[in-house]
Amino acid sequence: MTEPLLTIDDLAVSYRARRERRTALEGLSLELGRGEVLALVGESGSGKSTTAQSIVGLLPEGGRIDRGSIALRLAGGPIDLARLEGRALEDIRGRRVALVPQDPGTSLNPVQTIGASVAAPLRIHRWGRPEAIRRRVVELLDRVGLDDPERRARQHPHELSGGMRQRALIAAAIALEPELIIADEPTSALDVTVQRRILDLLDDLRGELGSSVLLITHDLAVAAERADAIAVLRGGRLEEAGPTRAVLEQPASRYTATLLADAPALADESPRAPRPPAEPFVVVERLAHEYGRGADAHRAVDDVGFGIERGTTHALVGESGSGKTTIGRAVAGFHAPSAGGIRIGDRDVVAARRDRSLRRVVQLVSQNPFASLDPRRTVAQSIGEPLQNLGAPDGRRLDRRELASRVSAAIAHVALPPDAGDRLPRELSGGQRQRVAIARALIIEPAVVVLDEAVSALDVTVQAQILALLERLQGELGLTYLFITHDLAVVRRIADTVTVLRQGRAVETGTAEQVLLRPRHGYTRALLDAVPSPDWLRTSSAAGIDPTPLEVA
Amino acid sequence: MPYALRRTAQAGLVVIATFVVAFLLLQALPGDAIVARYASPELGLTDAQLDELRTVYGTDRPVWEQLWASATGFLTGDLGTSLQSGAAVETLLAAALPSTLTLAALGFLAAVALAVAIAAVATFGRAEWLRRAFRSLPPLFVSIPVFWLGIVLLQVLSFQLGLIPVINASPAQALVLPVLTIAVPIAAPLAQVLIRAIDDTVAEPFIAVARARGAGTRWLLGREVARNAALPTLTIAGVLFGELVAGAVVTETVFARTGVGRLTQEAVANRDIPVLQAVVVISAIGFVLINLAVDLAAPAIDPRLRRAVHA
Repeated sequence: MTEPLLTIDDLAVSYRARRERRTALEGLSLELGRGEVLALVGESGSGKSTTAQSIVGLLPEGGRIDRGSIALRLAGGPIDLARLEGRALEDIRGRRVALVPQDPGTSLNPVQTIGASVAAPLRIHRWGRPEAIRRRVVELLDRVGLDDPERRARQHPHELSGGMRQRALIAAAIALEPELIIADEPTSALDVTVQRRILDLLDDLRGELGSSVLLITHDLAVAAERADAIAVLRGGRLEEAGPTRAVLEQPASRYTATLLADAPALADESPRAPRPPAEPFVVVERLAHEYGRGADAHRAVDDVGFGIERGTTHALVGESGSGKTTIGRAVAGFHAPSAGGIRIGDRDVVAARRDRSLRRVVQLVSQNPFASLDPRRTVAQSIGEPLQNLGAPDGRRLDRRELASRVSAAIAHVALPPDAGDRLPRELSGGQRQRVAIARALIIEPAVVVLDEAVSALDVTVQAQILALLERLQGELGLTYLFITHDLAVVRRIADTVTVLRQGRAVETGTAEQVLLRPRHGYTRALLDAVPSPDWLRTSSAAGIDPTPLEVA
Repeated sequence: MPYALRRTAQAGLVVIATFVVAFLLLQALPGDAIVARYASPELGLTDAQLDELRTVYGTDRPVWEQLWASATGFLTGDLGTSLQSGAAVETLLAAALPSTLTLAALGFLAAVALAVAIAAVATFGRAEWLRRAFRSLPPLFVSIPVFWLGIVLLQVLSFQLGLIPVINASPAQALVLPVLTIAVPIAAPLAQVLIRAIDDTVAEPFIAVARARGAGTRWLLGREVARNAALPTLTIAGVLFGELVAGAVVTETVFARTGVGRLTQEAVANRDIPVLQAVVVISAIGFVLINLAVDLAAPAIDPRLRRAVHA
């Protein structure tokens, strides 16, 4: 057996936190074979990014490798990256070890052209003369599948889409044909259909260059589909490692089994069964919305309509730019649509949107629980705010005692610890913060809740918990949800009915069962196909799919 | 380019508004310049004679008429007559302006150089204590009063160390201390903004990406950070031009230099309204021009603004 390219042995990393040092990695050992893909899987705080940063010597300030080694076996003999510093380290970075970063939106210098960014590793490592570098940049941009590479090289990052930016970053990473490519959540910020193409590109390039790839991801489905081997991290320790199929089919640790069960894309479950049709409670008719005016006008939403029955969940699914958030905000009464109507029960939302009493009927929970809570208010203050503004659900003003008792009831309702009320948002985890946001939306006892990507920023196990909480509350309170998401796997878990959006238009509307199992529209099928899942898993779960022939719309 | 046109028109409006507001405010000052200049008992002028003087200087006419006369005068290059010296204001300004422009330009350049040096050491300095020390310089510099700094520099460098002669100094030597005095209070906020901008830029993911490509400190600072940090700094630099004008008044008085600052100080003391009006308008024009240049330069630095400009 040939020696692996990368061997991490007993690696321990800690960060300085106030007075003591906090351990981020505790005795991690890993191997990555030549030409192989090793997926490093784990939730936030598991140490997967710390591992990547340790390899390229880019630990954030206060971070330190306490012990262990990171052996990279190059032609000239092995190098211990854990001991490398200064010039010697800079010489390895970009040339032998390259990084494909997480967020293509912020990983390119906004004031540099794409060409300059891709040329940077070539120029830093003095690859050749300026004209040669220029030719090489165009060649690289062409190789990663950017059309008109000459022009792309002259453009700036803001002129490119997220997928195109990630292609440019990959071009820069492979410029010097590195032995090791570290891909740190390379597709987390991208739409599913784009994610698929970027992962395909990485696969192709790995085959061509014979590089090894360390794929860091929170998405087990991506790991399952793309990696030869998987290492599961938890709290800075290796939970288990092994060939992908072995780990996923017979997980040795209970934690891996939980992760697998919670990963919506891998879950083997059917969508909610359709209910007998009833009068819709929320009605959206011929909704249209334009941003800008005149020649610059952009039609974000175009003639979209759907109905939601009381006590059910309707999912709005689409990629970025599909108009799903615009619709959600219009339903919540935050802005008036350019055309069309929205009714909740017998209330006209468009006409009543400035009416504060509308807030008793419909509430919004947004994606980012870090940004949607006031950092200076305690949890109890945030949750109680709607009651202070609007009074009790029946309109009465509440005295202090009653307010406090309602707030603590709400805290209990969303299964937060009883003492959470006195804490500040920063003292809570992401999942806990989202529970606070949900409690704040529900304390006013609305009939409808618009959930805008409300679980997208959360780890899978937390995501599963929040989805279960939302289902429970729906059952208990008879809530109607408008659930906005890009993630079809989440739709399968929670939705009764679905509208698939593309560039502002509804391409398909129907029950979850029909849309997910018997999609009529080609775009819905493309979205479903793009959900990562390994072939061997797909065939095993396909047995449960109704083999009704497809109707082409 | 409609953006450039729009900004230029706005700049023109600001100058006009400044002219009118300055004129009205100076008119609203209690008492009038004729009384201040000629009503002292030694001159022994009668009220009738004072009225005659008012007619000569035109101060007896309605305010709007005076404003109109003054405005048309400005457009034709006639800035009025100094009440104090009787000389044409444009002649006084022409004599004072070159010296002040030299002082301001050199002071500003020195301030930029000082700010860049402070910011570079404060953010990329080798040792942590060094970075900390340089980080605390701007707050210190901001809190130093200009006149005090001028006097201390004069005392230490000229009188005690004898590095720069006070008497018979060459024009270049005579500039050193005033330039330093005017530069320090401008360099401080500039450095502060620059440090902040560099900190923000360094925290951006693309810097980590550049490091992962093997970039060293010099590449990072020169190629990745500089241009990103330049924009907020440039904007604040335009605003700080106002400081230069105020700094010139004090500096020229402390160092007994001729110049617009000195002229202003004397005009204020003597309530020489035509001179004040001219100084205010000239300063406003300078301020507006510099900020116009900053605004027009911004899209050249940050390509994202080019799109916003066209939209």
